Amino acid sequence: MRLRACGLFYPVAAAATSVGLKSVGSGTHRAPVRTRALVLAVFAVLLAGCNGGTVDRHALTNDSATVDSMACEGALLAHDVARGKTTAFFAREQANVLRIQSSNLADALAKRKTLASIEEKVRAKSRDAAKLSATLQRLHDHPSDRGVATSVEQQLTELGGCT
Amino acid sequence: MNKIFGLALGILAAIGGFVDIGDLVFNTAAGATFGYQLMWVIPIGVVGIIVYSEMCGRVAAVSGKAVFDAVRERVGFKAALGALVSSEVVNLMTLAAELGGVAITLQLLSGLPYRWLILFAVVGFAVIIWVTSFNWLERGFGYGGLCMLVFAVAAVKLGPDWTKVGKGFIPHITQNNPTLYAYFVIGLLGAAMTPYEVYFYSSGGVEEGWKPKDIGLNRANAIVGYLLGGTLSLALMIVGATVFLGHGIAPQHLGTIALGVGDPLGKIGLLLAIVGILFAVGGASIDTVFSGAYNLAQFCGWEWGRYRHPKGAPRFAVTWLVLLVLAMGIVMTGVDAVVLTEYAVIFSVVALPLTYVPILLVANDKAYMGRYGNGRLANGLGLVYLVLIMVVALTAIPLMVLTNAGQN
Repeated sequence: MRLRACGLFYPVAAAATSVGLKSVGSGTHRAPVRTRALVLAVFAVLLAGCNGGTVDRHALTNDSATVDSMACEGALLAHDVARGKTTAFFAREQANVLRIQSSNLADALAKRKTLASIEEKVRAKSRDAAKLSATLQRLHDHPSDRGVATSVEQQLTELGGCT
Repeated sequence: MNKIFGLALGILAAIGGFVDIGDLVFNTAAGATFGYQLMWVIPIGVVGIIVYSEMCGRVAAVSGKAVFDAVRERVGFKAALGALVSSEVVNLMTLAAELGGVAITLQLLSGLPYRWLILFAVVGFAVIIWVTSFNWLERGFGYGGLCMLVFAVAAVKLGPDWTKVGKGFIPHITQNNPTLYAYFVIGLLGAAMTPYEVYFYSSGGVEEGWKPKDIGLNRANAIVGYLLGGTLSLALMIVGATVFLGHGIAPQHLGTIALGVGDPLGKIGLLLAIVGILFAVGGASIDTVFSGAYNLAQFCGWEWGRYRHPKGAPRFAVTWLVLLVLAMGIVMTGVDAVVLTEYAVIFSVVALPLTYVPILLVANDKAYMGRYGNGRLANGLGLVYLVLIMVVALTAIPLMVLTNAGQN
């Protein structure tokens, strides 16, 4: 189970508006030890979902895995569309969710600060994610077209190195 | 005939309580990440929830009081307040996640905009709860949730390697990323033993008017209902392992879980899976919203219950309405239901001792329970699970931080 980068909030389907976390208000009173410990614990939990900052090898590995996973899921969805195993609504909505997620990841990988030694790999992965998003857009636009689905399945299987 | 209908309470608790969005997310993700290696955790969670639900139901049958009533009376104001605050926070997070899940499944069925569907779901729940009796609520969602059995059919049809499945029931520690493995163990136990389940279960027993003669029915409800829920959890994990691990997919969306059924069973299977998820998550929404209202009403000594008309228990009715609106506000911000679920489950693990310690104390209190107090078996199992609960509660947050909330 992989969460999105700082992933409690993310754009949801068509109404994609991300919402940031507001800072917790600070009072002038000295907080009791237990309260401070609780606040620290909450921050630790919130930060647990974040992997922002500079992209290092570990983050790149995670993001690459996410791109591959989305591609393979898209391929499985396209496979089911091609064989009439799904409904048009399901295919359209699921393709859309994956499309938005891959588009966001493509943007993040294109813009985030990166270690110089892996910058080329990170940008290449951004292009992969953008290509994935564009391919999923085709499935989203033609959720019951078996011909399109067959072509999408082939492209995504190749992109994600799916088994 | 009444006894058969009585069993519906167990079925609702199993489908809408045991199998909720937390189980859907954690069981499928565990299968997709570790294959069958975590199967052993599910029976441990199932036995735990059976043991404590049986105690809650027995307390309700003997005293005519739900758990929070008894807790408030027996463990004092401060301890009960701690349990109340923690349970309400976790309840609200869980309710928001379940509502988001309902809107997602409705969107997968209809293609309508997500935010409109959140509003539709909240209004729909408010109307259903207002006009429907407790009996019809449990029957409607309980039996609708039986569509989830399609996951069991899919698990068999996928033809997993049953020898490997069997080996998964033997507890072991993996060499492959043990920290993440431990995080999943905690998450699976937390999803199986979510506090709201026992609060809802015991209050439901009071709503049904259980008496000491119904202790057998209570036991049957807990065992049959949660075993059914546990079977579905096993099926979810098998589908996760067979479909997603095999294809290199890390499921991150509710729709992905249904996709696991579409592949082996086709369009009808997919539709049954989505409808099953809708009823399971919808039933859990009702459980959580009632659980939150029950707890507050019982703590404050208000009139409560669905057998009373809202006019007869106005503060109880206002509480569940406010909880629904608050949860809607949370989901409307755009928070991801699946991610919120993960946080809700982990926080519920931290709150587990505050729920289960008082239950054990009350069920073991001979002055309160008379001859229906815990026997040796219930006490033995209760103590073993209490130790387990303490361990998972202490390790939940550190593991969440160490694994980046399951990212690696």
